[in-house]
Amino acid sequence: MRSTILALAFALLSGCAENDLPDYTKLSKLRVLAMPASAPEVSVGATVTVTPLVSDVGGGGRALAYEAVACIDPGVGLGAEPSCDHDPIAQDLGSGPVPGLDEANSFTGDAPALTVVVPPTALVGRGEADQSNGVGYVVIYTLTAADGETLTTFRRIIVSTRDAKNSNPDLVRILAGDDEFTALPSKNTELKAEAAPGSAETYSSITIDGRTVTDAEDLIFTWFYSRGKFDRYRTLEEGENEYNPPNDLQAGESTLIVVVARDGRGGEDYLRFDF
Amino acid sequence: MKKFLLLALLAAAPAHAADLKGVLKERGTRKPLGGVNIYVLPDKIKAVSDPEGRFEIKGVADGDFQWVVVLTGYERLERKDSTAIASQGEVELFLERSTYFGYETTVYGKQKKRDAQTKSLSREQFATLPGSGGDPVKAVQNFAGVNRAASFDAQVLIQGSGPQDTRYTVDGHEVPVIFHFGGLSSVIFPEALDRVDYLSAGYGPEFGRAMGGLVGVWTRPPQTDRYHGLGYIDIFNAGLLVEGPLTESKNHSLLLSARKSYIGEVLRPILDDNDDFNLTVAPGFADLTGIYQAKVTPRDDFRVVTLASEDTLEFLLKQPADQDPEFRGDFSTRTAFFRVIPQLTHRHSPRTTSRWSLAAGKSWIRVENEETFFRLGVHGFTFRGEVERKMVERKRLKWTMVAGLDNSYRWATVDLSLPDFQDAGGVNNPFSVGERRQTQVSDEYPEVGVFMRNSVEIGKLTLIPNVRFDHVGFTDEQYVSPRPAARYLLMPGLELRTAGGLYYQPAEEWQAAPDTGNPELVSPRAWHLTFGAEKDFRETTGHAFTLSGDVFYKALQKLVTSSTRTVERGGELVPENFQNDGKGRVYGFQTNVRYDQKPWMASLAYTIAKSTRWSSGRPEYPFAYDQTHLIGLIGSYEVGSWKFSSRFRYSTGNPFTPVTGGVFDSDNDVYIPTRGAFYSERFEPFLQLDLRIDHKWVFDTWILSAYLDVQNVTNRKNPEQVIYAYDYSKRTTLSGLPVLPTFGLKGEF
Repeated sequence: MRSTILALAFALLSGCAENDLPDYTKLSKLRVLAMPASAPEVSVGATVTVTPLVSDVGGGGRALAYEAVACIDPGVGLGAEPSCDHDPIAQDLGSGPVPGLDEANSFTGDAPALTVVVPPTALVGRGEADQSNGVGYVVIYTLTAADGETLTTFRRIIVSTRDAKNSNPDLVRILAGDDEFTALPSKNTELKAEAAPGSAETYSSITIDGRTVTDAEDLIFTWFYSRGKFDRYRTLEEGENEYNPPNDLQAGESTLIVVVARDGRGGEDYLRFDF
Repeated sequence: MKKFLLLALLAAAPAHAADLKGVLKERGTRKPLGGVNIYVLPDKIKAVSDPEGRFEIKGVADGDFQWVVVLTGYERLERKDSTAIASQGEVELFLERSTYFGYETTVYGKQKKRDAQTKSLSREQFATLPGSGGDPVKAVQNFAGVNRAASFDAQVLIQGSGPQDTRYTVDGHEVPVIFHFGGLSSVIFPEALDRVDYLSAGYGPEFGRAMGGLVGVWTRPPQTDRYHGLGYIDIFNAGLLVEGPLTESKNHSLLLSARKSYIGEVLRPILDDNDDFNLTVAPGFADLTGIYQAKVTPRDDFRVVTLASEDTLEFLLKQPADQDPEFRGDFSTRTAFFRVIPQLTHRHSPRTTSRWSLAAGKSWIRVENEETFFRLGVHGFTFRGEVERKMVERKRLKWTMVAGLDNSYRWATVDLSLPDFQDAGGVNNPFSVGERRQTQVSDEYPEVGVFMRNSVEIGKLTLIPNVRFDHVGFTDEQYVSPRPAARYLLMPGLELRTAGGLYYQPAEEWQAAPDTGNPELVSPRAWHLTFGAEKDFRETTGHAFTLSGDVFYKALQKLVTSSTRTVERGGELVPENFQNDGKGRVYGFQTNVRYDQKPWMASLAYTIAKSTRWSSGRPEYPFAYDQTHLIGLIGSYEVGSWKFSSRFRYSTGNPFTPVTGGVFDSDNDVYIPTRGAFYSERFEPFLQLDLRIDHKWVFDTWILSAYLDVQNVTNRKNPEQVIYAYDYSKRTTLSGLPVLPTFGLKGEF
C-alpha cells in the first residue's frame, strides 16, 4: 500500500517537474493513436474487426510492416507482459505492409483491419465474477519500419456473459466556442470535444467479494497534433483545451489534429482534421 | 580559627543591621538552586540556600552591599544592592548557566541499556544534535547504518533492510507512523520525550514482528518542581507545551502539548494559480500529547499517555494527469491515529520490578482518488508486560531475568478499490493498466508474543540467552525465535559484543487476505548475526573520544513477492497475487567515532554494506535501498549564547531498474514499461550539507531562542526518481529538496 501511495506521489510530482521530455500528443515519430474495434465487448465465439490508426509524421512515408496475434489475456492487468507466448491456441492475425499513410502528407491513417474470432473456450475455468465482468482477449499489433524501428501496441476485446455489453463512444464533433471546428484557427482557440448522448454508459460489475456495483464511464479525449500546440494532453467531457496554432506554416505544409475518445473500458472513437 | 573569625566578624558588625531574605534560582528556568553559598560583601556574611533555593542573612550593615554567588557550571553572580531595598521583601537572585543549549536538563536516572544492539539518545542529546532540528527520529538517522528512504519519504532504513521492515513504537506500543507527512517532523512533541531508541541487527526479544529493526520513543514523566511552559513557531508549524504538578504533594503531575502545521497555507496561494490544480485542503498535520503521572504508593508509579496525530491533504485535478489518465478529480489522503496508554510500574522488592502497559486506540489511513480508494480503519489493543528480577547478585556472578508479553488484538476494516499495482523492479505500471480490485474486508488480527531475557554476568563476560515465541493469528503460525547475545569486557573501556537470532515479520494483512492477496502466505523471516566492539577512551585516557564498530549479516527468507500467475483456489482460476519465494542477504560494517568536549562536538558515522535480493527465476540483484557507502559527519561549536552546527551526509545512489522501452496500451492510452535488468543502474550519489545557527537570550524568568536552519546549503540537485518520456524512449531525474532555509523562535520557562 505504501508503494502505491508513493507511486501516486511520484507520478504527480513528476507531472509538476520541469523537463524536456517529448510531448505525448505531439505527432512526429511512429505511433498507434488508437485501435478501435467494431465491438469492444462481445460474447465467446464473436468476430470482431480491429482497425489500427497509425501515425508516422516524421517518417516521411517510409515503408511499414505489421504483424498481429491474439490470445487470452496473460494477465496484463496483474503485471504480466503483453505477449501470446503462453497461449498454445494463440490466433495469428496476419502480417504485411501498411499502405495508405500518405493522406494529406501527414502519414497518418487507418492500417489494414484485423479480423479477430474470439475462441469459444475463452471463459472456461473462470469464476462467476470473471465471466460476468469479462475476460480480456488481447490483440497484439507490432509495427516495424524499414529502418528497424518497432512499436508494439495491444488492446483487449472483453469477452463476457453479461447482457448489457459495452459499445464504442460516438465522437460527434469538435467545438471552437459555439461553432463547429472546421478550419485551422488563426489565434489561440478553446476547443471542446462533443460525444453523442449516451456515449458515457452506466454499467454494473461484480466485485471480488461478490457484490454488484454500478458505475458510470468517464469519457476521456486525447488531443494529438502535428503542428502548433495544445495546452493539455487530455480532457474530460466539458473540458476545454486551448489550441495554439502554428505561426510559421508555409505554403504546402499541413497540420493534422486527431482527437481520440475513450470510455476506459475498451471503447474508442476518433475524429481527424487535416488543415 | 573559624570560631575566632566568626567572633571577629560579629564584633565588627555595626549597630544598625538588616536581616535579608531571598531565593536563589537559575536564570531563565526559575529552577531553585539549593545548597549554594551566597555571600554578602563587604560584610563577608554567608548563607546557604535550602532545597527550595531560599536563604536568610542576618546582620547586614545598613547601606549598599554586593551579592556574590559562585557555582560550578554557572556564571559568577555579582550584584549591587542596598539594604533599604533588599529588606523590603524577598530578594530574587538569578544565576546564569554557562550554557543553555538543550532543554533544561532534568536527570531521571541513567537508562541502563539491556543490550548493545539498542542505541539510545536522551532528550538532551537529540535536542542538540546538529542536523535534526531537535527531532528525535531525525536524530536517529545520524547513527551508522541508518538512512532515509527518499528526501520526502519519512521512512527509516536500518542496515540494508526495507522501509517496511522497521517498526515504530511509542512507549513500546506500535503506532502506524512515526513521522508526519513528508518527514517534516515526528508525530510526538520532542520535549515530551525521555529518549529515543534505535534497535538494529541482533536486537533483543522484547520486540518482534520486524526483520529490520525498530525505532521507539519513550515519554517522560511531567516535571513536578514547578510549572513549565514552552512555545515555538517557525515557517512550517507552531507548538505549545505546558507541564507541572497538580497537587501540593507533587504526587500527581500533568503535561500537555499540541502542534499544528500551516505549510499548506503558505503553499496555497502559489498552487492556486494553476488552472488544472486546486488545493482544496492544504497539506497539514497536527498532534496532541498528554501525560499524566501519579505516584500512587512508594512502590507504584502510574502513568497515562494520550497521543493523537493527524495528517491531511486534499486537492482537485480538474483534468486527467498527463502521465496517467487514471489520476483525475478529487484526491484526498488522511492518516490519523490516537492511543491511550495507561502504564503501571510496581516495585515488588528491591530485586523485583514489574511493568505493565496497555494501549487502546484507533488508526485511520484513507487515500482516495475518485473510483480509486483505500480506506483502512483499525481498532485495537496492544498489551505489554514484563517482570524483571535480579535472580543472583554476587560479586562474580549476577543474573537478571526478564519475562514478558508483547500482545496485540486488532479489528481492521478495509474498503478498497484499487488497480492491481505492479512495481516489479521498482518500476510501476500505469495505474490505468491495472485490473481493478474492489473489496470490503473486516477481520480480527490477534498476535501473541512471549519473551524471556536472561543476563548472566560472570566477571567480565555477560551471556544473554534470550528467546521469543510468537503466534500470528491471521496466518495461524507459531514461531520460536532464539536471540542469544554476549558481551566481554576486554579491558577497561573496551567491550566486545555479539548478538544474533531469528526475526519473523508477518505478511501485511491485505497481502494474506483471500480477495486481494494469497491466504497461503507465511511470515517472512530474517536471521541476524553481528559482532562488534566499543571503546570509550574517556574511561581510561581522559580523551573525549568514543569509537565503535560492528559487522552485521542478515539472511532473509520467504520474502513476499508479487505474482502474475493464475492459480486454482477453491475450484476457480484466480490470481495468485503474492508468493513467498523471495530471498535476500545483507552484510556490512559500520563504525561511529565521536569527539565530545565542549565547546566542540563532532561525530563521524560510516557504513559500508551490500544488500541483495533474489527469487525463483530472477538471479541475485541489488536491493532497492542498497547503499554501499553511508557517511554522516556532524559537528557543533558553542560560543557564549551562540551555537553553530553542521551536518554533511553522503550515500551511494540507490539502484534502479532501467526501462528499455514501452508497449502501447490502446485501451488506456498509456505505455507499459519494459523493464531491463533489475536494479542494474544507480542514481548519482546523495550529498547534502546542512547548517544551523542557534542563539539564546536568557532573561530572569524565561529564555528566548532563535534559529536559522538551512538544509541543502549548496542547493545540490540530488536525483531521487527517474521520470520517463511517455513511451520510455528518454528519461530524466526528479531531484529532492532544494536549498531550504527555516527560521524559528522558541520561548520557554
